[in-house]
Amino acid sequence: MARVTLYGGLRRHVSAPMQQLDSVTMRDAELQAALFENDRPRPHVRVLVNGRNLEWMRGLDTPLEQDHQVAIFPPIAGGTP
Amino acid sequence: MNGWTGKILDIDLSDATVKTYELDMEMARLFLGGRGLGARLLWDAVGPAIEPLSPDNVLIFATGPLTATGYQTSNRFSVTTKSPLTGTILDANSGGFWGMQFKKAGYDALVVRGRAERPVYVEITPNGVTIEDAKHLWGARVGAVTEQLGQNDNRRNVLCIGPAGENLSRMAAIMNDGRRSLARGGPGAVMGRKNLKAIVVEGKERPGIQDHEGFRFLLYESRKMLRTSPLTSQALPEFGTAVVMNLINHIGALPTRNFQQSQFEGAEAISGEALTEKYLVKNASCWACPIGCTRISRTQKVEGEGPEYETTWAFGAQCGVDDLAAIIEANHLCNELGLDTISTGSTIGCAMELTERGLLDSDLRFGRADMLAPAIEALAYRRDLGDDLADGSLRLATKYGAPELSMSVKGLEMPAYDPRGMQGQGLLYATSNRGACHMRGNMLGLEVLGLPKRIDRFQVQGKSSYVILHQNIAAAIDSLVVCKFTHMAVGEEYFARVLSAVSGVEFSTGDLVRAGERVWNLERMYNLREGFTRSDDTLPSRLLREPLADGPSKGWVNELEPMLAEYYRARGWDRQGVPTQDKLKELELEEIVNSQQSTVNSQ
Amino acid sequence: MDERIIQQFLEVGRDLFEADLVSSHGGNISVRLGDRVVIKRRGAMLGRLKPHDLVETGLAKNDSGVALASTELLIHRTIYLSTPALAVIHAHPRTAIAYSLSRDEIVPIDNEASYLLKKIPVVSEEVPSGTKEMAETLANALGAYKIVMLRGHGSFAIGQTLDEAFHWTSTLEEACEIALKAKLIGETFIEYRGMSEGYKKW
Repeated sequence: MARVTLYGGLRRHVSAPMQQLDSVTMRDAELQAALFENDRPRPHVRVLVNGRNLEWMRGLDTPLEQDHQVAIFPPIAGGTP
Repeated sequence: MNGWTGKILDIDLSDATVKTYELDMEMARLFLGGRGLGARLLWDAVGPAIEPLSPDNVLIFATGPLTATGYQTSNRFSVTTKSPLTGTILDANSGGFWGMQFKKAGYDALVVRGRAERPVYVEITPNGVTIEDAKHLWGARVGAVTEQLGQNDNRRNVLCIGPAGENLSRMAAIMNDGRRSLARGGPGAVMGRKNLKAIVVEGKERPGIQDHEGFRFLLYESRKMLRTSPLTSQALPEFGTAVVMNLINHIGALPTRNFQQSQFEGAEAISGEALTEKYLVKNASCWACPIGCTRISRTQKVEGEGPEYETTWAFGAQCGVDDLAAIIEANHLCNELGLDTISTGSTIGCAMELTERGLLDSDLRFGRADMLAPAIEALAYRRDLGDDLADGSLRLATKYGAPELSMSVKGLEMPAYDPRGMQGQGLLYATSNRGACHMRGNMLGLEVLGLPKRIDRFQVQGKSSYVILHQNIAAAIDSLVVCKFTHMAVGEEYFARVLSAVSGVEFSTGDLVRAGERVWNLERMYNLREGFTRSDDTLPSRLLREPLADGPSKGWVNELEPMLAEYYRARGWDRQGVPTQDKLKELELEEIVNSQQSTVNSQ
Repeated sequence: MDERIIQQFLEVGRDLFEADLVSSHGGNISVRLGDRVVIKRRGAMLGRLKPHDLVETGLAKNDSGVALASTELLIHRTIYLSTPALAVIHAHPRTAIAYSLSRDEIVPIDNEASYLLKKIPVVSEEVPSGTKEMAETLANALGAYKIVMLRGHGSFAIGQTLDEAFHWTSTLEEACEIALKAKLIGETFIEYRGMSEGYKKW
């Protein structure tokens, strides 16, 4: 089972911050609230699988394997001005 | 011409003379203000013969053409000097209210020369400029000084140094209204050497704007963008800068225990989420800023501003500490003593590795949250081992026989991103003119946050183009001066148009970025004149030769050499990293550099 | 060449064709990599790019690749040398070209393009391909605008990445189609944007 962790304000969209995910892809119903708003991807939301951006993989169709660490981040900006 | 007041205030503390002279408007067109103007003035004022901690070094405080206009985040200003930590040209900038107030007092820049015989402070008000006795303030901490000098609900603003600056710590900051700072590279020590405790300003008139209608439209459009972008309207206000902690940790680029690892098991405990949940009191913001990223946090012992991401990392992952309350207290102590938190935390982390390797006999060990406060106190007063810490990690590690354990470039401690997991960040650090710095170009945005999208953090080919563009843009922003967070939502083309509307002189986007390139090249020429060479454009050997053992960046070192060669060529520099005469001519720097070089040499 | 750079060319080339922003053999795209430029090979079809269709040459100086490069290399080089661009897209957006025939600037009325582009200048040249003067006129306009129309010919957009330049290109064409449809409907325009006079002066 892949372990999915939500960060920042996205934690509001699910019951617990840490989820054990059963699904074989990111198209899991439970995650849709965190990833989408009115059927459109939330802007600047980033999904990383084992530290790699999904953009460099197969997007939401990237197969999730045993022990994959999935992290979903809300819009983030930082550094010290 | 609007945008500039046209006046420079020049104070020589040695003989207590105060002069005002006109700003050369051609200089203003070429170098804008802030960092650019500072570099131009320092080029003439401080040559290679002057040691950074000599009374002959100068401090140049400069605002820019946008400062105090009311454009979003037009509150910033900078200080330029020769760095006591690195020996390079140094500029550090800060927000808050002081810069706005100083510009409203009627000046573009303040040059401070010489050394007062006894401790003094300078007061700049609509009634004039005076040099006052500061005997009663010497030795006092930053909060007390700020309060005594009468910070008055932002009608009067205070820059001062703390004990660290008085004791010439090479990482001493100049503190801004007691809680913000001009920190990196040790400008507080230069101020301490001058016996200058504080500079107080009260302003009066807002600067004029040439094209009011155009300016109002730009304000309106920029406000829309800042409100629409989830970065400036949600991410920064809600969780502050420390919200990047979990992300940087997850990608395997969070330097841990003096860059020995790139993931920290305690990252969640010191993240922006944890800070917000457990310690946040409220947000705050600088003058004319709609973003409001500032955190006011409270533990059982202290309440104050911060900590920012870099600080949380420096006392956290870098020192192996996962106690967020201790980190908040360390940050507060640095603000009180007047210290750069990045260099302070990183130097303590370096001492911890030296100790664990048996090279240094001390109680500083990774994970010892209880040792942070005592080490910071010792550093600020140069007590015992603190005397070594105060000189920075490079001098410390060299003294104890392992210079390679200093995680610095040109002697400036690296911020919170491991260049093995962010290739462009490594090139940025290696080439940054003030030493390793994350604010000289937004590689976090480019390589991690996806702004603009699809630049892979491990890509090496072509990376120099992005680093150069972002360095030039950052130099332009630092010369205007606005906050780089604005640039997360508002493109540089807006800044060019705001500059045009304010000044009445047409600046295209290309012109603005070109001005940034000019500033970068002048800074480079300054460092070359100081004797820096290609061999200083490098990274600690750990990052070039020790592949990361674990995590998502496993197996990577920083591929600096190919990136650096491409960088020099793309900059129009020769193989030794020296700007070609053609490049200097194209940037209108030829005359300045050639004539001034001969002047300095003949002195 | 780095496979991620090739991938961007293939994807953006295909997207430009599929979005009807170029004809089968029309348009051109390039990126700047340090002191090098990578550009589509002469005659290659944007919708069907293969890795060997990309040509790398010097930004300022010619070398082996240059004989194969697109005839519009001069324009792309001139733009890179005088603007902050790191990617250039030249496309043939049809409605925008139609608008360019009768005006010196295009001021969008839809929300997206007003927000992103404000205004698009139209520049003109008698001999609209590959001359030095043409290249300089375009590069000069791109110093102040993200996308510019060459009258009767097409658009030139700049960005940090091909994705970004593609964004400006498709936004421009969308704006022109909306403007055209609004004109067909022919009813009185109700201004919904604040301070909209500012767009005309951009």
